[in-house]
Order: sequence, then structure tokens, then C-alpha cells
Amino acid sequence: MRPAAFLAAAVSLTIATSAVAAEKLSYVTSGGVYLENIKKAFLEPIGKKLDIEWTIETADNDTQVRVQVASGNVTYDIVEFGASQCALGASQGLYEKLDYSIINNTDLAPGSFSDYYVGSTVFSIVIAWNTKTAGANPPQSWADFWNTEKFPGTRSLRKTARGMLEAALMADGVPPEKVYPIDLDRAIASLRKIKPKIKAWWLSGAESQQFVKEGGIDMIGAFNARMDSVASDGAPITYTFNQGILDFGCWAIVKGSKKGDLSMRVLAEFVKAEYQAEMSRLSNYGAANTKILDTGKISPELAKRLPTAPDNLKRQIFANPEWWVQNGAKAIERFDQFMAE
Amino acid sequence: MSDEASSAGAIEGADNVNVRPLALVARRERLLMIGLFSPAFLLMATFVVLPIAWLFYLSFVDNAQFSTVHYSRMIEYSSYYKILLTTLRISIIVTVICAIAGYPVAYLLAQLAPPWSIICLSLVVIPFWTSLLVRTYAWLVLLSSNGPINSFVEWLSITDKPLELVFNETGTVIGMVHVMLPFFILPLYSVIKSFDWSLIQAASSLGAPPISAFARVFLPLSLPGLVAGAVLVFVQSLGFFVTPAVLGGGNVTMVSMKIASNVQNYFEWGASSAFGVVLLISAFGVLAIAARMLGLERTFGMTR
Repeated sequence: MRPAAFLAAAVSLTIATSAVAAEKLSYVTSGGVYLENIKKAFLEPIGKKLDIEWTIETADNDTQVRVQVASGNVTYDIVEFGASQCALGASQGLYEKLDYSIINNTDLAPGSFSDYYVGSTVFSIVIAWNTKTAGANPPQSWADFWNTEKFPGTRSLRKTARGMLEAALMADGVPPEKVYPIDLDRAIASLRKIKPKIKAWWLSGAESQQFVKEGGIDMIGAFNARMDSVASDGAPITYTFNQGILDFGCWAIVKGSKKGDLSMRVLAEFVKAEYQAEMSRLSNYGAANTKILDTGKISPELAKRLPTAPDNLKRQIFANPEWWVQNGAKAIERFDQFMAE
Repeated sequence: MSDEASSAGAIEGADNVNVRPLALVARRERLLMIGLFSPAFLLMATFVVLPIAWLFYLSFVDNAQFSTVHYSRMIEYSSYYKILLTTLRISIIVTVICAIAGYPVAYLLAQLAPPWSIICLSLVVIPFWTSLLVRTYAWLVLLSSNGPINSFVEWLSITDKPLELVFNETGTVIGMVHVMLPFFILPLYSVIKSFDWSLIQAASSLGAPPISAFARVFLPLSLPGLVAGAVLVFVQSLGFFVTPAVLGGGNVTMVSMKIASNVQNYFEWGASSAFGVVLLISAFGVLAIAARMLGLERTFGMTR
């Protein structure tokens, strides 16, 4: 009933890594299987190394961060969100400035870090389909996804402006390299064409999985690793990286965190290839660190399936956080307007 | 005569003697009432009135200055108006369905004898103890196009296409009615439970057939419970978030969802609180119209 209960779904868990005098540090990220992998790849080994007792909370958006910074009662330390949220928060003064004399950014992909945040995982909104109902003639581009006559079946998209505006433009024939700056009118007009055919719009990653498993959805624009995860559970789902919209997760330290120094040292560990490689191995997400293949943790088969594999990279576009920071408010208002039509 | 006069005078005198102590008692009683009342008053003032005043204030602030930008935005984008209408419409539909479905249940509950009344009452209350999310997702499975309800309908071969029961307003209303029914049934039940059944016997003895005894005696006397339940359901429905978000499948946007979207989208709280203010005023408006139609005193359950 309350937004906080649903979106933040704030379930506090504590992992005791050491019985004596471990320092407490809070970590906030989205929940589900993603959190489980983050725990195994980052929190457990780094907690042991730096003697940290984690306080984990889950949130899909930065509302709580805003509340804490505005009230001056900051209990969060390190948060992980999507890149546009980090970039927007940074422009609004929600995060501490990062110290790159402590955090080594030499191996990080260009564009995956800024003065206020640093990249974690790389993921992509891809075109996925049910191999039983749509496998004979699967959509291979957003134009195919929009073409309901040639490619019949029920569809689902994400209920966010971000990603969907890009997809709508490509569906309307805009070449991938010309998607930015986004032509809002054209994107909304294109979305209007597909809207009557969208059976359901998903909000959380877990919902997208639920839709393809039990919701009777034949085609969906969803996060690649979420689809890998339902496929490994036995659901007849596969996807293409064609015209996938790449985005990345990012870590930031909340402004006014009482553990700023420790958080900085933790981020210095987070960006290292060994941990990021482990995360990719567990989750099928790509990593901001470009040297993960050198760790030997990633099998050649998996390397080919990561959204950051060279063959996949060239078929996708990168979401542009800069554009979203500058135009996000207007774009989201227009998208909400479109959804209420 | 003089006797009478003197005795009357004595009574008057006694009156005068009692005036001061009686006034004292009355004052003490008034103080006691204020004392008893003040914790509730303070609680409401601190946790309801002040926050609402603060919400109202924030809706006029942008960049730390007075501004009506959050209200003009609602005029600029017609989505706000549509979302408000959707919210009011869904809330009214849910309230009406709860009333139609809940009234017979409350009536039956009040008629049952102890073992059964307790069993049935707990059946009404049990959903309270189940997580809202679990119930909502359960409906998602039940109502989906290949879910059990549609399989049953197909087996009956009523329709050749599965019914569109979810990812729309229908699904949202079904889920919300399920959540809200106990809020309607319980206040109505408590009113019906205290109903004096000899009034029905009196009506019958005066020649009223059962239907008019019900319509002209029972129904009017149960109205305070019905209205209390309806107001409770309506007001709570206005703030629903999870149920429309999940069962609406993105095709249903209610005010609270737009408020959440604005919290993330704008740095200013006013962008969200302004819509909250508009919802609050519209809710009062709807209740005022309902009060006018039903008679004000009944709406607030003040008649017997």
C-alpha cells in the first residue's frame, strides 16, 4: 500500500563477518538474485579482508537517500543504483566526491566512473522471447518487436522512460548511433503505436521474470541476466543482443556518511578485477573493470555471452547518462503523461 | 400559606447553597475531560495536522522560494488530471463492490450463533495477517490468462479466448476489493450486532412484510455502519500502491504511483506533495458530495 514498503522493500539483514570489533557499514542495492550474487562476489570476501560487518538494505531507487541527505540523518554508507540515478544524484549533491588516489581507476571502462560514482556491473535491456510461442520467428530488432503483424504474440516492456525511449526510436528507424539526443516527440509517437499491444509493463526485474514465467508474455524487453536466470530455471526463454540498450550499475558514497574513509577503501576493493570477475561469473552481467578476463575466472563460453563481449558490444548502444541528467525530468514527465493516455 | 412559602424559600436557599459546589464539580469534570482528551489531541496535532500543514507548505516551495510551479505543472500535463480521475473512479468502484459484497456477509455474521460466528468472523479477518504482497501476487497467478480461473472458464467453454482479468483495471479492482472487504464488513458488523431485533418484530406485528421491514427499519438503522465502512474503504483505496502496480501491469496509474515517480524525478518534495494536496482536497470534495446526498449526520455515523 505504501510506496516505501514496495519500492524500498527495506529488509535489513546483517552478516556477521567477525565477532570482534568489526566495523559496521551499510550497503544498499536492489534485492533478489542480484543481491545474493553481490554478497558472494563482493561483500563476503571484502568484509573478511577489511573486517566489516555489513548492514544490507534493499532499494530500487534513491528516494531514501534523498530523505536522509535532506534531513541530515544519514544512515546509508555505500549505495548501488543505475548509472542515470547516480549521475542525477551527483548533480544534486547526494554523494561524496570520490578520491581516485585511493580508488584505482586505470582498468575501468571510460565513461563508467565520475567524480561521484564508480561503475559496478554492466547490463543490457535486450529483446527476449518465449522459444515455444515465438521461437519459430523471433524478433531480431526493435522494429520487429513493434511489428505485431509479422511477429504475433503478447508483449511486455519496462514502465520507464529510460531505455524505452531509445528502443522506440530504433523501432521507428532511427539508426542506433543517432538515438541521442533523443527526439522526445518522435519517441512518444512510436511508443503510442505499440502501447495497445503491450499486455503488461514491468517495473522491477523480478516482475519481468514473473511475466515471462507465469504471465503469458511471449516477447519482452528486459535485462539480459534476468532472462538468463529464468532460462536456467527451465523457462523456455532466449534473447538477442541486437539493439540492446547497455547501462551500468554504479557505487556511490552517500553525502554525510559517517564512514566516509572506510567506504572509500571499500570502493577501492570493489573496482578490482578479481571481485568484478567473480560477479560476472555468478550473474552473467558485464563489469566496469575491463580486465576481468585476465583473472581466469571467466570461461570462454561465458565471455561470449557477457553483454560486454566485443561481438555483443558492437550490436548494442550505450545509454547516455549525460542526456538523462539534463533531460530526464521532462522525458519522464512526458512518459508518465503517455502512460496515462 | 406561610408554611408553603417558607418551605419554597428553604428549597431556594438550598439551591443557592449548592450552586458553588456544583459549579466546582462541573469545572473539575470539564478539566478532567480536557485532560482525557488532550493525549489524543496532541497525538493528532503532532502526527496528522502538522505533517499535513508541512505538506501543504512544501507544495509551494521550489528552490527555497515561494512558487506555484508544482501546481502549474499539473495543469500543463493532463496526465495528472487523468490519474486523479482514475484514482477516484477505481476507489468509488471498489467501495460500491465492497458494499454490495460485504453487506450480506456482515448481516449473516450478525445472525450466526457462537461457534459459527467466530469461525466466519476469523475467515473475514485472516487475510489481515497475510502479507499484502503475497496476496497480490497470488491474484496475479490466479487471474493470468493461463491461470486456474481462465482454465476453468475455458473448460466450461463459455468463451474461446481467455478473459482479460489482469494487467488492467479489472484485475486492480479485484485485488483491491479483496484487501478492502474486511474494512467494510467489520464496522458494519458491529452496528448490526447491536441492532434491536424486537424492532423487526414490532414492524411485523404492525403488518409489514419482511421486505419492507428490512427496507424501512433494518436498512436505515444499519446505515451508520454502512457509511463508516464505505468511508474507510474509499479513503484507503485512494492511497493504494502495490495492488495497482502489480495487478495493473503498468496500464493503471494511481496517484500514489505518480507521487512516487515524482519523488525520484524531481529534487523538490513539492513536486510530490502538491499532488498529495490535490488528492486530499478531491477526497474531501467527494466525501462532501456523498454527505450532501446521504445527509451529513449519517455520513459521520452520528444518528442512531
